Amino acid sequence: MWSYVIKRVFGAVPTVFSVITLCFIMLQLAPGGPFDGEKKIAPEVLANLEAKYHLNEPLHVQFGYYLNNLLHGDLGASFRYADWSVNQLVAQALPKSAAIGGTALLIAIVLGISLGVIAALRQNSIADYFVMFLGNFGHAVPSFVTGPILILFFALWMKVVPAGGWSYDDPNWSIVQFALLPVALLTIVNVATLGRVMRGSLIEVMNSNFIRTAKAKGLPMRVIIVRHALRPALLPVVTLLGPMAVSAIAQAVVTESIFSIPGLGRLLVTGAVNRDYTLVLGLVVLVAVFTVVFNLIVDIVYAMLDPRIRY
Amino acid sequence: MNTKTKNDQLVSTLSNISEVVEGRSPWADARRRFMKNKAAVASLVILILIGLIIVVGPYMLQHTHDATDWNALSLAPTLANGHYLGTDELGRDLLARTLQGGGITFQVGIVGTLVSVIIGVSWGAIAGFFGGKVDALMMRIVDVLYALPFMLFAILLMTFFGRDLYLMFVALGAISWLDMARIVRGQTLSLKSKEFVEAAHAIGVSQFAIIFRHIVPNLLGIVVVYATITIPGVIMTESVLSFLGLGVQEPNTSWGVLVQEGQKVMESQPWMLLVPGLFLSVTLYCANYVGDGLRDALDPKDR
Repeated sequence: MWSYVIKRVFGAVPTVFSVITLCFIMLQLAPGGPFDGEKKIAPEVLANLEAKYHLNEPLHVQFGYYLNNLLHGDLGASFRYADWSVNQLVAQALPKSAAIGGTALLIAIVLGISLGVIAALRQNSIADYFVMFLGNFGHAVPSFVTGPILILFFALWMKVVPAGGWSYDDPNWSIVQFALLPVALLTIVNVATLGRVMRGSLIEVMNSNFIRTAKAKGLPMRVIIVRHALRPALLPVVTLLGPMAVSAIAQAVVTESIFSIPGLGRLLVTGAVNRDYTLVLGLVVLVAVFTVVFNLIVDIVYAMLDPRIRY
Repeated sequence: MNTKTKNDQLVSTLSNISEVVEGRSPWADARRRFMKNKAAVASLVILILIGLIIVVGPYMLQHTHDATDWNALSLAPTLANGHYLGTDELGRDLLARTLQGGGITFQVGIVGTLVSVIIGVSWGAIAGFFGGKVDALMMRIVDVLYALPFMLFAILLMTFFGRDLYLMFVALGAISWLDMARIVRGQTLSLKSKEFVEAAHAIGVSQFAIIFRHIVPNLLGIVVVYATITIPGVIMTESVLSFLGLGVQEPNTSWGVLVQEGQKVMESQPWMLLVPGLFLSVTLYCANYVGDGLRDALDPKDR
């Protein structure tokens, strides 16, 4: 088991390295330098500045410095926000994104799996149609259409939640009310996918030979489902969770823009609009590392769930 | 004499048979299967209708998408002055803008997918055909790219290289070719050991000519299927980027831009949000159904 984990961890290193290299190359290709501004800086000052940030050295040396900083957890300084390092900006934004994304993912996992199981066991029932409808809906209607419609309904017409924002000491709304719509929006998208996959995989498992054997042995239905069917049926769902955790971050870009939440996604978009190269780059590297770690965890959980996978 | 009549008889019987039993090409087979899929056919019809409206519609309207009507700012839908779906706060006609935005959205979907097809098919076919170290390296690159969050890469591309429309076509295509490369590689692996490829080798056809003249044409079915499935994905990515303000720029518009603009005024003018949102959702929904229908009709796996 441990040798498998270690092997997978080392397998992830080249991926992370490629991402960082790719990002670094793109940064070099981007037009404009960090000190190009409205007013011209004197050449001597510029030379000093470049020396301070090692910009006067050859590219591979710069890359070395960049890697070294990254290894020490330093994402560099922001191009646009003077006096702010990317680390500080991230530290401010990350908790909000993690709270919303984590809650939404948790609810989606519980809700999606339960709905999928019910739909699979009672095919063509109302629950089944609901899952199928939700699946198609989540697939076709983009979240940036659903989101504003949610705001229109619940915030502007019914006035039960705020239309957006994020504040712990707002006199009118509690933090739960701020979080309600964004979490709901993220949940809808994920429940749809999870429910559909769970339904399909459980139906397939329920038709397999070992379930027929279990039925023939006279086991009660509850035991068959909980002890025998659920575990293999969960495998495709677990596989899905890696990409889903990642897309939760990508989704967060849209969600946080819609609801004006100052999280990672908003940071990324404002960074992109302002052409704050180091900020965007730092965020992409960060997310890429998250991605690789998530996929790693999923692989390991997968190996633990499926006894056919030998390490 | 005797044998001749026999032969004649045989020929006439054979020709009769060929008249009775129509030969069916795989494409005709696929078409029949597709036509049986009611949801897919209906979706295709709706998509064609939307496409027609987008192409023909602007010529029937009194207003163009970038003309500002100072006498009609933030107008509600009305039949009176040709603003059938109302106007935005600059007095631009929503219907005209929706149609123009639809045109851009469709173009992005199709051109972006074409780019992804070109990259994906070449990459997959070359990797599968040469095999060995080339294959291992090329597919390793695909694996690495798979592990990346693509939405973020699209944003990164838009940040660094500006917001040119054509650049966006290429960027969107350049991030959606991975599935295509994998599928094409798999098919190429099974095709390259076929006799006709061996024959081409034997008469001295060059390797690239074999790939692009003999192998790629045989991949057409599966490429068409996955290209159809890629289109809604590309459209979705474009809309998200445009919604975030990183995609299509003024005076051009797209459904993503319109949804974003509609969101700002949705309290007083909800139709500004609902009309482009509805167009986009219906298009994506139908494109998904057509893609699924085509896959069921053409995919050799399910035969």
